[in-house]
Amino acid sequence: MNRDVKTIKPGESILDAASIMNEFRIGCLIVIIRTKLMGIITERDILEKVVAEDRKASKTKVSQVMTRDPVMIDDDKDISEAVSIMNKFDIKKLPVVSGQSLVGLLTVADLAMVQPELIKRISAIMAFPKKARTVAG
Amino acid sequence: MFVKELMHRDVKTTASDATVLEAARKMTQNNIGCLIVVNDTLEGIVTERDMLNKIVSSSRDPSQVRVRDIMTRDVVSVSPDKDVEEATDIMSKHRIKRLPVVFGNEVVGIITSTDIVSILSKAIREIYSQQ
Repeated sequence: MNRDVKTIKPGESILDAASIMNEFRIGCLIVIIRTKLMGIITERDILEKVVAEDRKASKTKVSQVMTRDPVMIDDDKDISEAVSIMNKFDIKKLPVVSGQSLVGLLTVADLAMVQPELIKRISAIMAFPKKARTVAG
Repeated sequence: MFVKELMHRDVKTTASDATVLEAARKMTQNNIGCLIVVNDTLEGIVTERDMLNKIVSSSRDPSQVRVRDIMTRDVVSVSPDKDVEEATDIMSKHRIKRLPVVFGNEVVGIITSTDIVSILSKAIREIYSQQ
C-alpha cells in the first residue's frame, strides 16, 4: 500500500483538489478534518459531478462531491481480502486504517501494476498451466 | 489467458471534434473512465485524468473545448492474441490503467487494471477453494 496518502479538507474547492491530484499524479484524495476521515474524493467523482454537470471547479466544495463513509480495510488484513472487497464493492481505491487512524491507501492500479509478479505466480498456480495451454491452443 | 478472452468488446468511442462536455457525459452514462477516439482508425484516447489535468485544473469550460485538444495521441495498445501477463507488463511499464486492444488497424477491445484485479480476485478464490 501507499503510506504517503494525500489529504484535503471538506471546505476546500474542487480546483484545489484537482491541483493536488495533478501535482502528485494521483487519482484520489482522502478528506479529513484533523485526523478524522470524512470521505474520499476521486477523479471519477470530479468527472461525474463537476465536468459532466458543467459546474465551476473553483465554486464547488470537496464536501459537495466526496463520497462519505467510504469502504475501508484494517492494515492487519490479508491482501486477498482487500482484493475481494474491491471487487465486491466495485471500488478502485481502498483506504487502509489502523483503529481509527488512516495509515495508507491501496489502489487497483497498485495491485494491477506493481504486482505483475503476483499475477505471474498466480497464473502459474492456477489450473491451466501455460505449457498445457500452448499445446492445446 | 489471452487478451481476447479478458477484454471488453463493447468499446465506447467518441469523435475528436466532440466537446469535452459531451465526452464527460458519455463516460458518466456508461460508467467508464475513458473513451477511444476514432476516425476509421485509432486516433487517441481521452481519460478522466485528461479531464482533470487539462480542464478542471486549468479552469477551462468543457463545453468550449474539443476532445482532440485534450486527448492522448500516442496510444499504447496490445494485440488480442497476446497473453494477459504481457498486457499487464505493458500497463505497468507505461504506468497506464487502460490498454486498447488493436487488431490490424481496428480497435477490437479494451483491457483495464480493474479487469486484471478481477482475475486476481478469481484466482485467489480458486486457490483458497483448492486448499
